[in-house]
Formats: sequence, structure tokens, C-alpha cells
Amino acid sequence: MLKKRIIPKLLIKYEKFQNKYTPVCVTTKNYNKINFVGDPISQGKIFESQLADEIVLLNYERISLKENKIYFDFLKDFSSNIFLPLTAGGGIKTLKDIEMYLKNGADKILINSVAGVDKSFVKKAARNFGKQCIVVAIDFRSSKENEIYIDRGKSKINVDILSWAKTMQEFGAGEIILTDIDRDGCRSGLNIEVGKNISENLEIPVVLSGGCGLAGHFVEGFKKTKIQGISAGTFFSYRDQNFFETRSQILNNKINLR
Amino acid sequence: MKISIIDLDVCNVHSISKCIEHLGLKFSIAKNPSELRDSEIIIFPGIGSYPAVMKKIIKNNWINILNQKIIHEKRKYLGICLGMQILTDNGEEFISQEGLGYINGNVLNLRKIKCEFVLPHTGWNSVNIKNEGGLFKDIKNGTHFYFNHTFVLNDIDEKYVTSRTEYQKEFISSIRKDNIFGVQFHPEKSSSAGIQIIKNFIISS
Repeated sequence: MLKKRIIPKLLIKYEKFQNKYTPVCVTTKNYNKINFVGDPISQGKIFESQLADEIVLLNYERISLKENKIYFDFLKDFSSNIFLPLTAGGGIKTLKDIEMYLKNGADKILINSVAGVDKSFVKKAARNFGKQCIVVAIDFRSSKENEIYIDRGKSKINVDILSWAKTMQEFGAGEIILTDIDRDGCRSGLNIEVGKNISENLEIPVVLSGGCGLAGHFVEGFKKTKIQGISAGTFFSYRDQNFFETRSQILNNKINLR
Repeated sequence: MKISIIDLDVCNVHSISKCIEHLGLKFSIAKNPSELRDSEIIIFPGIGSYPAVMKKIIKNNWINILNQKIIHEKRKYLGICLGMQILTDNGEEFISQEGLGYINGNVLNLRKIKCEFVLPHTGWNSVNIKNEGGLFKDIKNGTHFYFNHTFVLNDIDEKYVTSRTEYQKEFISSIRKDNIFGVQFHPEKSSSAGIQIIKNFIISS
């Protein structure tokens, strides 16, 4: 039987350290208010040993990918050390960018803004790399009637969330990651309503994120919706959250994890 | 022992490379058919679409060297995901496409075998091992591996099937025919059990 997935999300920024830029892991609140957390590779190793099912790795620096050698070197280094499926993204605009991501160790690539600007890009990407490789991130704000945003929450696109998700499915997305920007980093619980609506109406896997603060939020997400996975950044990034305890609490609620 | 990994620029060859490095072994990346000339062990970690990859194989003249190595010299071959699927006679994704034909059978969308669950089949699923030993030496029946695919092998002679997996319907998750091995899941992404599969393939099988 296929197991539900728990997916830690690592946002990567650079910090200047002894005149050299070093990738560090950060968390955000409502896609703003950045907090530095620590070294992504040691964090990734901890996740692997604690049975995380997958990792999302997001490049948070707004530097053109062509010049972003630091990120790709880092991605390569990360994937050399951690034998888990990696979904990576941030700033993807061309098929060549996708190739760079895959070449440096990503298994699935995450696109968001480019799909909002030109949805046919999703189709091209799926044809070239296979549907199973293309994950579309849908960011929305529950405070604004679930309006959809691209560009890290900065620009709005005028389309209903369910019809957008369906369009992405039809154009070749192999998976959707939903994030409620208004819940990001708030630890107040997932947006069950949207997770339920989208996961019950699509034929591709849906992952829900934004708002996990307790193990119970994971349980609720899996019990009340048909989502395949839950992704969380803030929840897993601070020491008071033990992955093992979270897993056993979810398992105790008869949710199928590995 | 020369290990080669085929790289057609459509997938992540980095992870499998690191897996082999992790075992303390050397390997080379083959981007052109000529680079397989002295290979003794070949791994093809294919993802992507069946027609797109087969077209690349045909266009870039991989067929002769693959026939030579796998069929005539009987070198060990491990196909991962699409690298396994192309061993069959034919597959379809967007359009129908002829495959390498080393193992009789074809490749179908899971929907065609009446699987109604969400697709792709993405995540960790258990593998019911039919033949212990081989790739599954020291691996417990029911171990979880990472899958990410929509298409599955179909119409394969039962004697070549080494494991099955259930996703509403049962499908073939690994095969072996003499020197030819294939897995539908991704050992290079399946943490320690996956590394064991690669080790079994290279060293003991």
C-alpha cells in the first residue's frame, strides 16, 4: 500500500561568512519575515535518518539561475549526501533551467511563477521530462478568498483556485503543492477546506502546506482530506519538534506512514 | 570491473552516481555510445517519457552497442524505472513507441489496468518479493521503496517477475532475465534499502 508522505521543506538563502557566500536554511512567516535556521545539509541528514519521505528544497535568492552557481553547487552537494527524493525549485523559467536542476540532483522540479505567466510551459516541461517530474506550486491567500499569487506572493493572478489546479493537471503537472500564504509559518493548522476541495477533485497527487504547528495538524490533514502528503518548513526547523514523536503520533492515529 | 551509467540528459544521473560512490566503487558516465565499449556493468537510471527516451536512443545510435553489450556479451544491466520499461517490445506515453525488445511485453498506463487512484504513483510503497536473493539479498519482504511513475510493465512472462507491488491493482515492480535486471522503483532514492539493491546488483547478483 502506498504510504502518506511527510515532506520537510527547506528554504535556502545565502549568508556572507568570511567573505564567502554560504547557503543557509531559513523559514518565513507569510512569505515575509525571514528567520535563519542553520546548515541545510546537516538538517537534511537528520531528516533522512528520521524517516522523512521526501525533501523540498527551495532556492530563495532572487539571482538569475545562470549566475547562480552557488545554488547548483549546493544542490549537488545536498543530493550527494542525502538519498531521499528531492523536489527542488526557485526561479525556473526555461527548460534549460530544469535540466540544470536535474543534472545537479533534483528528482522533481517545482514551478510556480513561470506557470502563472505562461501555462503552456508546464506542457512543454511535461513532454520533455515526463509528468512525474513536474510539480506545480500553487500559493494562495485564504484571507483574500483563496486568490492565487505568483512571484512569492507578490503578484496576483485572476483565476479560481480549483480551475487553476485542474488546468495545471490538464497541462501535465504530476503533482500539486498547495500553500496558504496566510498560514505560512503561523503554526495554527493547515487549510483543510482548500486541501479537501482540491484533493477530492484532482486525479494527481496533492500535497498541502502552510500552518503545521502540532503533530495533530498532520493527523487532521490526512484524516479530513485526500491529500497524499504534507509539507512543512517552520514545524521541522526548530529543535523542539521531534520528527520521531510526530511520526508516531500520526501512526497512532492509524494513518499509513512508512 | 568497469561500471557505466548511461546519461541521456533527461534525468538525474547524479544520485545513482553518488550511490555507487557511497559503496566505494568507481564508475563512469556514458554520454555517447562509444563510451560503453569496455563496460562490464551498465546502469540506466531513466526517467521521462518512453517515446522521448527511445527516440534519443535510436537517434544517437545506442542500439548497436546495447545489443552488443547486453545480448551478445551478456554484461549485467540494471534499468531503473524507464530504464527497465524500454527493455520491452513497446510502450506508450502520448504516442506508441517501439522499445528495445529484450524482454517480451509492453508498458501500459496504470489507468489501463483499472487503477483509479491518483497518478503518478508517487511515494513509498512496499515490495512483495517473489524471488529472494538476486537484487533482494538481505532485504526483507515488504520493504518500502520510492516510486514515481504512471506506466507499468504488462504481459511479462511470469518467470522473469521478481517482485510485485500493490497500488489498488497489483503491478510488476522488478524483473530479471539472466543478466538483465529492472526495477520500477528508485533504489538511488530509497535510502539504505536502496543502496543495498545497488550493492546486490553490482557485487553479488
